[in-house]
Amino acid sequence: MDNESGFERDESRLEREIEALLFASDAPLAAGKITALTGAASTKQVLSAIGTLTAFYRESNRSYTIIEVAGGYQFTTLPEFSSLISRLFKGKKKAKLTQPALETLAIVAYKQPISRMQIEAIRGVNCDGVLATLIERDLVSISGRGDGIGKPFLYSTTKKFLEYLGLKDFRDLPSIEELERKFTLDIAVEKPLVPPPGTSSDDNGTYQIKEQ
Amino acid sequence: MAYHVRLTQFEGPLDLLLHLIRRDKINIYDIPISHITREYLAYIEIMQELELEVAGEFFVMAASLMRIKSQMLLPRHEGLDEAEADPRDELVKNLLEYRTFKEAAQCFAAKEDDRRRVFTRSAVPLPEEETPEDTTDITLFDLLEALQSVFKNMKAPSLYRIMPESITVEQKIEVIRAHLDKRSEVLFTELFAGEFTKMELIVTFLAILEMIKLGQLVARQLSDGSDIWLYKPGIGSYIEAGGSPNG
Repeated sequence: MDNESGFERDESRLEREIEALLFASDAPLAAGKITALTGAASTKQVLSAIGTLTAFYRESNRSYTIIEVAGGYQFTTLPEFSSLISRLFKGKKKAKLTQPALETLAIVAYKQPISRMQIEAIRGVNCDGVLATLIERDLVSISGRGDGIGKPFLYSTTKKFLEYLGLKDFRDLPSIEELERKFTLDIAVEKPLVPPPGTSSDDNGTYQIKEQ
Repeated sequence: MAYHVRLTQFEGPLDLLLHLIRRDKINIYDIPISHITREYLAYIEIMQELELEVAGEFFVMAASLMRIKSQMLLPRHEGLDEAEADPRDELVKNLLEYRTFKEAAQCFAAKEDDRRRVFTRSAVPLPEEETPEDTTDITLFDLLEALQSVFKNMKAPSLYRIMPESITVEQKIEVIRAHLDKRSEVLFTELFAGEFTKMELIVTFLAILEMIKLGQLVARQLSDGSDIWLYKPGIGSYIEAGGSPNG
C-alpha cells in the first residue's frame, strides 16, 4: 500500500478518490470522514487535495467547484449557470422562505434551543404555522424539552439549515452585536444621549445595548 | 362581494410599530407614546376599513400602548428616577430585540439568494449492502416486548404537572430524527427515558413503527432478547422493513 516511490501518483489517486466521493454524495462530506474513507494520511492532506481540485476546476474553466458548507465539502455548480439550471428544475424548486419564516429561523438560529412561547414573545405573533413549515423543510427540529410548565418543546436549527444558507458553520453568521451596530449606522437619529434606563443590567442576558 | 386579504406587509404589531418609528423618525429610546398610539390605532382602523384581517395580537398591542400611555400620565416621584422604571422600557426592549432579528432575517434572505443560485448533487439511490452479520432482524413482537418493559419501568407521573403538552406522532418523529442526527444509532429504551406520560410512550412507539415503515429507521439487535438498537439507514446499514407492520 505504502509506495514511497509513487508519492506523486498517490497524491493524484487521493484527489480522484475525493472527487469520486463528493460526486456520489448527496450531502456535504466532512474532511474527517473523507480522511477515514480514503485512508489518507491526515485531514490536512485531504484539505490540500481539495484545494488542488478546486484550483484545477478553476484553471480548466469547469462549470462546478467544491465548496465548504455545513462542516463538510460538496460539489456545486457555479452561480453563472443559475438561470440555465433553474430552467431544468422549473417548477420543482422549493419556494423561498417568507419574511415570517426567515424571522423565526433567525430567532431559532441565534437563541437555540428555544421554545415556541419564547419565539412568539420576540416576534409578538403566533408562530405555530411558521414553525411547522420550518420543521417540514428540515431547517428546524425539536431538540428537547424545557423545564417550564408542561415541559415545552425546544427547537434548534438542523445541519440542513447551514446547508440551506450555504454556511460553513455558525461563525459564518453575523453576531448579534454586529446586527445591532448596523442600526446605529442606519438610523443615526436614534442614538440615545443617555444610556436608556434599565437596558444595561436588568435583562435576562438576552439583550445588551452597547454604550459608546 | 366581501373578500379578505391577509396583510403581509406588517407581520405583527412590533413590525407595524417599527414602521411607524422609522417613518416618523422617532427616537426608539424615547418614544412619544401618545403620538405612536394614535398613529398605531389609525393604522388598525384603516386595516379594518379595508376589511383586512387584523390579527388579535394587534389589539393586544393596542391595549398595551394605552396602558403605557396612562401610566405615563401618572405623576412620577422626583429623585426616585433611578429606581422607578419607565413604563416604556419593556416595549423598547421588545422592539430592539425584534429589530435585531428582523435584520438577521434580512441577512438570511441574502444568503438564501446566493445559495439558490448554485446547485448541488441530489440524492442518488444507495446500493444495497449486505446485512451486518452480527445483528439479527427483529419482529414487531420484539418491539412490543421492549415496549412492555418500558411500561413496567415507567415512573409514576409527577403530581404537580399541569397541562401536559400533547405530542403528535409527527413531532415525535422529529425528536427521534434529532437524536439520530447527533448519533448514528440510539438504544430503543433511550427514546423512552425521562418522565413521560403513558400516552407519550405510546406516541413514541408509534413514531418508531412509522419511521421503520417509511424506511427512516432500522431496528436491529445483537441477539434474541438483547437490547434493541435503532439506526439511521444509509451507509453501513440498509433500508430494511422486514418484521415491521405493513412491510
